[in-house]
Amino acid sequence: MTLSWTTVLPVLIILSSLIPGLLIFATPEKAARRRIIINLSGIFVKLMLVALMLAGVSQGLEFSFTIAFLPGAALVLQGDALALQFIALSSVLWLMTTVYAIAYMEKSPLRSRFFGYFSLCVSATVGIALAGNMITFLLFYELLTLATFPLVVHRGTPEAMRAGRIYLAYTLGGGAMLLMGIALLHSIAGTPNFVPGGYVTSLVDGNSLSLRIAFGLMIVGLGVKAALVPLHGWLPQAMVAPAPVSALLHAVAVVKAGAFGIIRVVYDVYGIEATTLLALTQPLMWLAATTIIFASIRALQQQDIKKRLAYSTISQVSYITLGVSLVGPVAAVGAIVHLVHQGLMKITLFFCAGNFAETLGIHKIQEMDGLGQRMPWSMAAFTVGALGMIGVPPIAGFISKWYLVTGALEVNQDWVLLILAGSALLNAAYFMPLIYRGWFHAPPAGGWHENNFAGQRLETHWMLLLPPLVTALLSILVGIFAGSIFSPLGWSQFIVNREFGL
Amino acid sequence: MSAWIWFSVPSAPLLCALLLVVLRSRVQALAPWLCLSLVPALAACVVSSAPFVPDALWPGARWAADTSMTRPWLAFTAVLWGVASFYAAYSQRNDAGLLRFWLFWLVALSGNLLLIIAQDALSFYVGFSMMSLSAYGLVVHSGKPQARRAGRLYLQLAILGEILLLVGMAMRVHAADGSLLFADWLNTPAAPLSTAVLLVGLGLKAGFWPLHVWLPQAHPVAPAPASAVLSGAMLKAGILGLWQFLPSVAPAADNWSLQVWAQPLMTIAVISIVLAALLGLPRQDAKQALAYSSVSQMGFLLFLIALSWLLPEQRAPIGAALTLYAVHHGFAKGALFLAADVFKAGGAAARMQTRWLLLAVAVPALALAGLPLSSGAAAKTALKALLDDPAMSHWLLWLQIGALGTTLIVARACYLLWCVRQQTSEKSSAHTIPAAAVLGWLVLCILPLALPWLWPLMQPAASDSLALYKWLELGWPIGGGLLIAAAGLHFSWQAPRLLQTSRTPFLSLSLSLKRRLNQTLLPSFELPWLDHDWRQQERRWSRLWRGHTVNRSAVLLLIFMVIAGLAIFRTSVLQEILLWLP
Repeated sequence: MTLSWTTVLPVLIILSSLIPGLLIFATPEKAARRRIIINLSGIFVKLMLVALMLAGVSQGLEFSFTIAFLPGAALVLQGDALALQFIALSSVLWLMTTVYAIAYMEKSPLRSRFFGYFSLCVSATVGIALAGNMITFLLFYELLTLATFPLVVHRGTPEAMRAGRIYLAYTLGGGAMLLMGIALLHSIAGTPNFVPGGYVTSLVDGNSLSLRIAFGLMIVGLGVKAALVPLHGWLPQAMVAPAPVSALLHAVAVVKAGAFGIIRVVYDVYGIEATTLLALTQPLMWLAATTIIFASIRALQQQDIKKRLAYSTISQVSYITLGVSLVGPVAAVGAIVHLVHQGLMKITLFFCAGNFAETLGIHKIQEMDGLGQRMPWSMAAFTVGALGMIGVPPIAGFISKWYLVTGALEVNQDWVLLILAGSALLNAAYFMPLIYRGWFHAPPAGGWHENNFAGQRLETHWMLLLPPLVTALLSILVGIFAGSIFSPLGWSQFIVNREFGL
Repeated sequence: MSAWIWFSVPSAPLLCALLLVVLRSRVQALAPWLCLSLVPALAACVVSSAPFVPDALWPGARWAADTSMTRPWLAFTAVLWGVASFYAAYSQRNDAGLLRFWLFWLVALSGNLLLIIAQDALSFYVGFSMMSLSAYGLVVHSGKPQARRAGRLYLQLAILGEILLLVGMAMRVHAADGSLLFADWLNTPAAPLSTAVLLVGLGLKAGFWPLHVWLPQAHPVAPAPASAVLSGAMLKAGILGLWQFLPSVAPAADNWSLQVWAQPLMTIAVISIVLAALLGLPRQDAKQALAYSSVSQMGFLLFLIALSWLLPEQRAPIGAALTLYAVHHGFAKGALFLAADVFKAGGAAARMQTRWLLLAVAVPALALAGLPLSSGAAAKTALKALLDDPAMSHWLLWLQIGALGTTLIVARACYLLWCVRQQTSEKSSAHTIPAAAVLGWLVLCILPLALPWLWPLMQPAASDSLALYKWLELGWPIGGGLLIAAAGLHFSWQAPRLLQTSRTPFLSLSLSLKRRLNQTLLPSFELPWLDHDWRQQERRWSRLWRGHTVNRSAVLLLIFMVIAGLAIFRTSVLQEILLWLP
């Protein structure tokens, strides 16, 4: 194997967060400045490498790295367009979350451990994105579980430990299912690299039952992380983690890993043709539709801001699964672009929820009265995120919803419109009261629980304020300029043209 | 002129909003200047420029205005918003939450302008939702319980309408092979389902019966200038939407077409016209009566839409009549709603004699009913010219009964305004309005008389209305209505108590919906066994196996071997064992 920059680049992208992570573990607790420098330089190196790869892939270059791993299944890292969509999202949001986390964790103990695992978590996520075959995917998928567990239990309180136990039970169970599914698939089709259109189409005859079982096992395994009902139980529990962790978990790392895996399995392993032949799309569609509606209704009943957001994540991430299972090019664009759009909006919401908690000690929806007067900027960002989730134009969420709606019509699945319309109504029902309380109610007469950063020029620490503002702005910009080539939508179109051979 | 002028039309108010946020300490001083954000819109009406095609936004976006319909529409909207903005700068001057009010105001304005210049469905939808959602902030501005109740109902129905609009729009786009341009939709027949969805979605904004339930609640509780734009300009968005989204297409041989629904829709329009006028009469508040009058007037506009479905070949003249009616009603209703504030304000308005004020307000009021020589006469003549066919003459009678109802309801509104004026003394008025703002209102009041002669598009209809028999036709509902009103005043008729209440069951329904949604509707998938202390179990398990490890492993191994053997020879051996067992 010759070493050229196209083979090394995928490895470098993973190493650019792995090495800083390991260095941070070795940093003494008190050396905050050194830790921040290592962390940020890692991020900037990664961003530059990702930009390089984006430029390369849009020019038609192929990035691939292979090393022997298991008999019949090499360890393959492959930088294709779909992988880059996920990598770009996770690198940008990693930057935002790290800036946020530096301020958020300023006074808490065990920061080296926290930031170390944080970087490992991003490395695992990027590995999932770059994985070139199912075995590699599985490897990073399990690494992600291990890297996120210490973050979930970081606070060490009994609730955090309980959440961690539940998280581990779900994800390890899911991982085992995924392993079985991949093993079964390996025995039928081997483990070649991901390829647009999949590699099992020629094997459908005679193996249909085994292929269906393998698909089911893999969807169950991926569905745990993608939080498909009834495998979603861990997600609302895991929100006891610190706000930056919740933000990363909900927007990028864990739930998106599951959703991304579903995209890979449907498009690049089974392929649209085989999935349709095996009649696997309809059950997946029903599963996604149930999840969307069920989680939205559950979200309505939560009185805790972060819990409501968690159920909202469950519902929104299933848009991706729904779009994938519709197997039409337009719906596929909607699904792939929602990967990015949901990430931007949801991370904004979690940043803001963290700001409310950090600055004023607000955790419940009832306590949000009059927030707009005390924290106008955070509340404005929150409003942008919430309206985007409802699907109000021109915020990003509208674009993905529009593509899903027209995509459903294109493949004559008109009933999906009902699901999407109902979900939008429910979204409005559970987000509007928060916005209303924040802007239209008077602040509590007795003052706030806590009042940190009072009397300063900014409503809260600038590093807490900047990330939500940037992500809120981004979610408006990618919505307004959706038509340009460099938007997530343009890139999704590029991916789908390749997947569907258009 | 460059196409960028279309871009500046909706972005100027947004820019002003941004400026207000930056200079938020000086909102009071800046407010009177905010009406300048309408300069690009007015300029765009006057000069002709190429359409703006912002491809970076979404493929197919196209902003422009055609001369026959959307340009007058844009002009009247801009003028009305401009006058109302200037007026609101003084009438809301001392309110709490002023910055919030102006931000919502400007975003709603931007949305309203955008939806008019939108020539593709998506731009329309963007403008529509900006306007619909921001209008909520105007409705609940006062913060009173009544306003919040009305606001809740408004918001629930606005969101419902918006989502229905999205679904209907997607269906139409799909039917038109992915084209977003209204121009392409002219040749795409609408399917029954998308027609129904769009009728309800846009109808919830247009506010005709039976989708009007929010309107008489929400419009009166907003500040007067906001009510003026809500009734005068924003309601028209629903009508404009129906016109653009569901264009009448000449029917194909056997296809379902909009023609089938034209007659039922005309019936709904007439019910809306007559019923709303009756329901509005017992109101005790001028703005409530005016809001019901809006429901009634929207019936006329809906009637025109339905007529265009019935007579697809007459789309152009019907569109002209629709524009005349929309412009006429926009100005007149705006003037009337503003009057609700002028009559109780201090300052220049308070110094004017009551009779002059009443005379000024009588012009738009009677114009609504179709006063000869006014814009109302021109608009109604244009409408009636379309009903020449003897088969349609029964509709004409209903429209005249509607005009009678309108006369009654505006007379009632004027009476209520007069009552307000009597109760207000110079001292008790909350705010003072300078002469310039009152002048703006007076211009709005005069416009119904000036428009037929100044505006070229209205001139033909206006000169048509001059014939003597037209005077009779237009005059009898007004004369009759005024006689009934005078009799009512003289004998001080009172409506039964039951009808006087302004509460509707929909308000409590909307509240109970909100409460119901917060209750537990679905079980959670909590897994209680995950909470067990599994460490204990693990210890117990280990204790069980302590010692005798080798023996027990051997036993285990044996059991496994037996099971494996059974699995291999499963059928025969199992059967034998089963037979052998007693």
